[in-house]
Amino acid sequence: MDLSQTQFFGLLRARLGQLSERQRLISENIANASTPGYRPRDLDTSAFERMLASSGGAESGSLQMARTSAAHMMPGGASGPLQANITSLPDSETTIDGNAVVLEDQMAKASDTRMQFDTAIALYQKGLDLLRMAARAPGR
Amino acid sequence: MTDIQAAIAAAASGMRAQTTRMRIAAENVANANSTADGPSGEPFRRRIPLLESTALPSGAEGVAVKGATYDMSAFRSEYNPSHPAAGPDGYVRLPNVDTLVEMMDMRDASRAYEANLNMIDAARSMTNRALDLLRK
Repeated sequence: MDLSQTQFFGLLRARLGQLSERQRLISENIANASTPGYRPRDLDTSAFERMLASSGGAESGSLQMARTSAAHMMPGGASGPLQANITSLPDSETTIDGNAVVLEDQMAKASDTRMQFDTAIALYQKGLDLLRMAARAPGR
Repeated sequence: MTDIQAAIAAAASGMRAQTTRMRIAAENVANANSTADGPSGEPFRRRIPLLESTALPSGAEGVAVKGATYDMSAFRSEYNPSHPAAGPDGYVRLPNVDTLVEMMDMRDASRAYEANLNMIDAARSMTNRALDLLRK
């Protein structure tokens, strides 16, 4: 059995990949916190394209749940499109040299990503525990 | 996992750049009163680090100090006719370094350095959490 092919683990794997990519982008933003003209980047987690995709699915007869937030899980599991685009958005203020990175905003984003990463890892651990429980001989 | 490594590489490049910035600010402060040898020479000129975002080998967009330019603003001058560098009017030209500005720059650099360090810490704890899956 390939773990990454199962819905649960495949989804979590994609989620972990997405979160580490977000962490990389935040790290880049913080590294460039004093670069003139630099605009911070982040993952675009807007669900617009996915809403479009799911409405197309309804036309062809199969109903899909609408995802209004990137944090929602996709019922399709690993097949769900989890890759998000990279957007460039200024933070709450821009300095006179055109740098739009606010360290506080980025640190908040970083700890948010870290917490979500921890959640995904905990779920992964739970899944493994379930598998182990199923594989154990009865009565032991 | 490569993303996490790239995050660490980006944060490390940020720390390096902030250290260079700190060094240049320290040089400016150290030379805040360095005058020329004689009346014809120029005193120390304040330097400004130029930071630029660059692509790192790991694929991350890090930062690097491209170099340092000279601050071309006017020098301070002080009336001190007995100074060897004093001009015919008795004024000595002093460096265009404002220690208050340098202190602010230094504080900004150390804050950014700390933020980069926190990012490395966060990336490391994320990796550790993932590795914990193997241990149980």
